[in-house]
Amino acid sequence: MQHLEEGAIHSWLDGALSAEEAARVSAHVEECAQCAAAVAEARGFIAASSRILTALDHVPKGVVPIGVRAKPRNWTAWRAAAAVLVVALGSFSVLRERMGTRQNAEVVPFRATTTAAVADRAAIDTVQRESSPTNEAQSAKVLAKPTTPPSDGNQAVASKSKSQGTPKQDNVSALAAAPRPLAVASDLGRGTRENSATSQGAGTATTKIDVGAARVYGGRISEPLSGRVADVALSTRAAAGLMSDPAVGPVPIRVVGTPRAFGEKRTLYEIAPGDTVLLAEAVTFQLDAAVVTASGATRVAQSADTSAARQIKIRGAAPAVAAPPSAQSLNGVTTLTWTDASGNTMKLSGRHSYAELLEIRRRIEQLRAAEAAAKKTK
Amino acid sequence: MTDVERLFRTYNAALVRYLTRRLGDRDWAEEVAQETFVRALRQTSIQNERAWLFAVATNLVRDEARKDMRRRKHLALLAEEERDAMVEPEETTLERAQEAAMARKAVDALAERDRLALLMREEGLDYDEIAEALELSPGSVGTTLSRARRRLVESYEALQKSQEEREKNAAS
Repeated sequence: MQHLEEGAIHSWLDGALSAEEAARVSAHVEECAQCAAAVAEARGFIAASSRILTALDHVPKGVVPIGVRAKPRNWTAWRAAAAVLVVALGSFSVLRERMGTRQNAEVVPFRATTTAAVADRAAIDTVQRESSPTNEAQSAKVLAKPTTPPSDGNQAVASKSKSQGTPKQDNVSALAAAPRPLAVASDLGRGTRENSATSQGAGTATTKIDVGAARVYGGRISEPLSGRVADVALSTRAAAGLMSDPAVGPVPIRVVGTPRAFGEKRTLYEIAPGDTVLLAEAVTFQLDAAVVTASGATRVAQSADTSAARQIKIRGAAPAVAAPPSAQSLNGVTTLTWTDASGNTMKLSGRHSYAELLEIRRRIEQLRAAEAAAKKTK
Repeated sequence: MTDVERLFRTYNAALVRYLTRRLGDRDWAEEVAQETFVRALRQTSIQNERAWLFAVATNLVRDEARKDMRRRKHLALLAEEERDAMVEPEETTLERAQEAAMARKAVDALAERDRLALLMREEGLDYDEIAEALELSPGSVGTTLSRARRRLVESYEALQKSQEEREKNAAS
């Protein structure tokens, strides 16, 4: 008998032959080693091709359509809201432990409420964020109000008027404020420098404000619980010291808070959206020097006009530190310690490498130089 | 249950999978499958349902058929029901994505008739149904399939080999 054709073998294996034909093939395969090998090979081809075709079912995600997918979104939003709430409560307890001063104690409820408000927003209208500037303006106000110390009445007014004047920017402020509510006033205070500072500051938040962003909030906000950065959310002097240097570089560094501590002047700088470092200066005087009150907004505007020239001068005036700073790391937070020109011990901490902190320090020094320059002109 | 609903429930999953493998696009596949069932509605009688459906779907892919939106709507609802019941495919890993890309290449390298016969066979069509759908003689289906399988596996293995070599080169 002739050897089997490949097609016949496949037909046989596929059960496509009549009983008679199948019996004939089967008998031949038992006798013929060559055809038995061909059958084995065909089995292999059948199994392998089947496997290859199954791989086709992994079509790229997103190809599978529509409606059904909307459901999990709510989940995420609620999760984000829960995360924010947890942080709010966590901040509350941390605050109680750490700060005993009366002023801080008074502010606590404000902070907690505000953060809760953010949580609610994250849950309810993550989508609306994008579409309704009016809401954003309002939320900016909501956020700005409690963070402004009662005495700074003028500034509250200033913020408000800005809110009305530039709704688009308020939008940005509100969003940037969600993970770090204290940034609100800062953004407002920047006046018209929209294209540099503000747009960058809000980079991640504005791109697409859907649940993805809410998720980011959750992640970001939970960070502070683990370290000193918790102070950001707790600071009572949100509106104080809000100065930024327009000439620093592509991502302007800025002060987002000055948490109080005894024997130390602490300043929180935001170096990128959601990324803060803490600068602690061992000094004996209180914060007064750094506090910018009602005239803050105007002063920033002025410094924007003049800082480029002045900065050079000031940098010359503040000599670079000779001794290299020492560094130590704990739980992913690196602390840089050095002594500045006037003999004060400085500590800069953040979740960054030594080299990054050095660069951040350089930028902070620039910023401070510009601040000093602005103050001198006053 | 209307006749078209029965048809839909019986054959939709296989038809969509066949078309997805054929087209590499699930949305498009579902659209064509729906169009196929719309066509089935217009038939007074169908001899061999499965062969008929696969043949029509195959032709629709060729012809880019005109769409019947009103009827499609009803079928879209049914499709959604079914999708709810379906298990989501696992998250696509890099490895899987690579496999899928190679499989797609290997399948695309086949002659059209070989490819269609193979995809239909994978969905359980027997030789007679394949012959009917593709207008082949029943005797040639075995040959077509054997050729398709051999070529598919060989070109996939060749792709795999060159991929491995690329990785090796990249590593060294």
